[in-house]
Amino acid sequence: MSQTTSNAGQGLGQATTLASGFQFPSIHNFPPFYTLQPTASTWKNQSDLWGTIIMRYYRHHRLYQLDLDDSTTNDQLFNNQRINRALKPETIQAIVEEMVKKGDAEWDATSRKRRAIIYWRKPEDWAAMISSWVFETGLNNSILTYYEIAHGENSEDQEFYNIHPTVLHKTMDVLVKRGVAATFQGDNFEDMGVKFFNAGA
Amino acid sequence: MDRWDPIELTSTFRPVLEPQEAIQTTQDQVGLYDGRAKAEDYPNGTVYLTNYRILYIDAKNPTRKSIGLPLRLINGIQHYGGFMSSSPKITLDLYPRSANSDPQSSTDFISSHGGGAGLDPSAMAALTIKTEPSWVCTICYNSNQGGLAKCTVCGVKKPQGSLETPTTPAADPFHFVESIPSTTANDTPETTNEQPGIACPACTFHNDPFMIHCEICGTQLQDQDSIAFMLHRQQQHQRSISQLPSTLSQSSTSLSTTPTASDTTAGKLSAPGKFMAGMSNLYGGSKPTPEDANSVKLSFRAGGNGSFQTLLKTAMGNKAWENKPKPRPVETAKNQSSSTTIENAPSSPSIQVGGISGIMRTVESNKKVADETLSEAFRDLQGLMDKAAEMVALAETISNRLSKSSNVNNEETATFKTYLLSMGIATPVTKDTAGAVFHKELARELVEFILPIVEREGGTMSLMDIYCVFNRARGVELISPKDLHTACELFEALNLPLRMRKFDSGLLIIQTLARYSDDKVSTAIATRIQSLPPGAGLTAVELASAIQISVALAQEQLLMTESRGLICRDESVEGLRFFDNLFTHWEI
Repeated sequence: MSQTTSNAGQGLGQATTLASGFQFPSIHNFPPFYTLQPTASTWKNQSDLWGTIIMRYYRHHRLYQLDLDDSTTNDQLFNNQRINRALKPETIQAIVEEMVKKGDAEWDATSRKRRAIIYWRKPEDWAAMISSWVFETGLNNSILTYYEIAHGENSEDQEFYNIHPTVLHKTMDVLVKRGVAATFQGDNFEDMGVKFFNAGA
Repeated sequence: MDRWDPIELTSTFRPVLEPQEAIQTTQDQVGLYDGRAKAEDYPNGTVYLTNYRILYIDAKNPTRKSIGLPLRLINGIQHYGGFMSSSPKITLDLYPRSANSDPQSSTDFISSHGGGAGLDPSAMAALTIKTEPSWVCTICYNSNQGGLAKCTVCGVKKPQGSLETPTTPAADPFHFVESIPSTTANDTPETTNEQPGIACPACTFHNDPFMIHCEICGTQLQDQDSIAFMLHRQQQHQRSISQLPSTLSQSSTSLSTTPTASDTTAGKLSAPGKFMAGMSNLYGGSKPTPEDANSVKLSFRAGGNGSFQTLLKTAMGNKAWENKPKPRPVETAKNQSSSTTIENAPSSPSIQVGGISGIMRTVESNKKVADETLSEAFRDLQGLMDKAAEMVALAETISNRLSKSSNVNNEETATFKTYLLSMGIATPVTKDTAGAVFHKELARELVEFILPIVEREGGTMSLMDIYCVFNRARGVELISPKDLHTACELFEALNLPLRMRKFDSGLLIIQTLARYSDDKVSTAIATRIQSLPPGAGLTAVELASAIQISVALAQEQLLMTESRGLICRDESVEGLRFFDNLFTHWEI
């Protein structure tokens, strides 16, 4: 995904920049961007563009979960007041569906496609990041709780700080499969423990 | 075969008709025979019967092998019903070609002068009906037309020693037509015309045989039985007058069942049959006889011969070609003669007329006048129809003149032309005239009419629009949407330059083959949208008004362009707008 914006969008107006510092591409001001395009090839391009913007927005704001019933979180993302256009929930759902197909998102199994985890970083990437952090900090061969990884003092400056529990769980699954770590059942999700081995390090 | 002339065809392979010419019926899968032998060049085609001509349009090679035969060359018709694998046939006996004068001028001569110098005998025979002197009824003194065998007023037979010149029997088909009432009259007992009258038993006054009571003293003249008989005869007489046309058609069907060439019982035949059998005997030899050159057979492989024959007889009876230059001079002449007959009737040698028979005659003549007024009224309607054709011709002339003159401003010209263009179709194809090939003929007519309009509209029109325009032009001969749809489905099979097409939404359109293609239209729309100010879209209404097409069609064209990925849509409360497809090449 190149960062150079093509000149095709000239005339759509200056790209909107949010207070958080996030800058939307100018296609965000293109009225048809908010209508589900019935033509398959056009829709593919449109949903790809939306997927990219959603992931960038989520990464910028360190968001993990997209909830169709929660309109406040993504208000600025899906609602463009400048051109008076907004994505309909079913269009968002369709976009997420496309992202799920590509592996960029995953539906919460219990939510009937109302909530989804956006993988702006893949579990494999998180796994590599967490395991290198563990080895760097010398925490291998000792048991860590999920809470310590996500909210502990040692991980405050890490990108995975406040990581979504589901994402963390997926990441650990990847590590277990690789044989790098073993998990221990706890009373609740945050009490679950993990132990990293030396092997392969 | 040499009597047939090549004919002009329209672009859709329908015959070009002369002014006032109208198609009576159409039949496909007809083959031609030259005399007795099959005409190899004309094996299968569509035959059109107009009021002037019989036209043959070849199915395979319409441009080269399409020929016409003027009806005026036809002397008589024979019918062969078909047997086993042999198709029904109609044989047309033609007047022998006269050596010096060409048939056109000779028949024109007949119609205009009523004389037959230098003509062949059969043509002369045909003429005699018109030239026969009128005769005066011995009973009612009505002056009758020469060809009639009995009085038109009282039904009494024409006296033997009248001035009438005898006609050659059976030489002319119209003669049979004219003489039919006499045969029906012969079936009823004819006794009264021998009696001079009925002498009154009381005062001995010789009353008219029709009288029931004495004109002088009022005594009853006849017993109950004879009164009943008289009444019966009067009724019969009236019926035979009122049924004249139906008797004619009956007689034509009886003609059609008369045996032809193969039949040997010619001796039993009636006069026309004898004649035809005689003709057939001449054909007996396999060697082509001179008569072969004077006959043509139409072989009806797909049937339809019966109605064709009936209409052919009607067309020949009408002799429309005689009225070509001036509409209906013969008929008006007839009217005048008949009206003068009525006017003259009281002053003609009928001084003795008086009493009840006089009253009866007045009633009769009043009835006749009323009849005539009625038929006159209907003739006016017919005249109106003829005028309609002239109006169309006039409209075309004005249209041509307008296109040359530059005085009128363009908008007015355009509007006026629109009116003229939708003025009318002179002889619309109907189920009656086209029969089995109705939809094919309709498709051809439709293409002829609609092609310039569709091209003017940019190559496409919705079927609804076409239905309106087409029916408006047809005037009273409206067609149903189903017929139009069926006709449009035939475009491809008939290789016509238009196509019907169904959009995904179900909208049906007609488009020209040459100018319209999805690629062209979609590219044009995409270019149009790209040229708009950035961020501005295009709605169907805007497109429709910009390129002068209907909104439904504009919508379809936009959707088609969208489905090709050239544009994309924006659905909002303001409606559906289309934008350039920026998604395709957008990179972020």
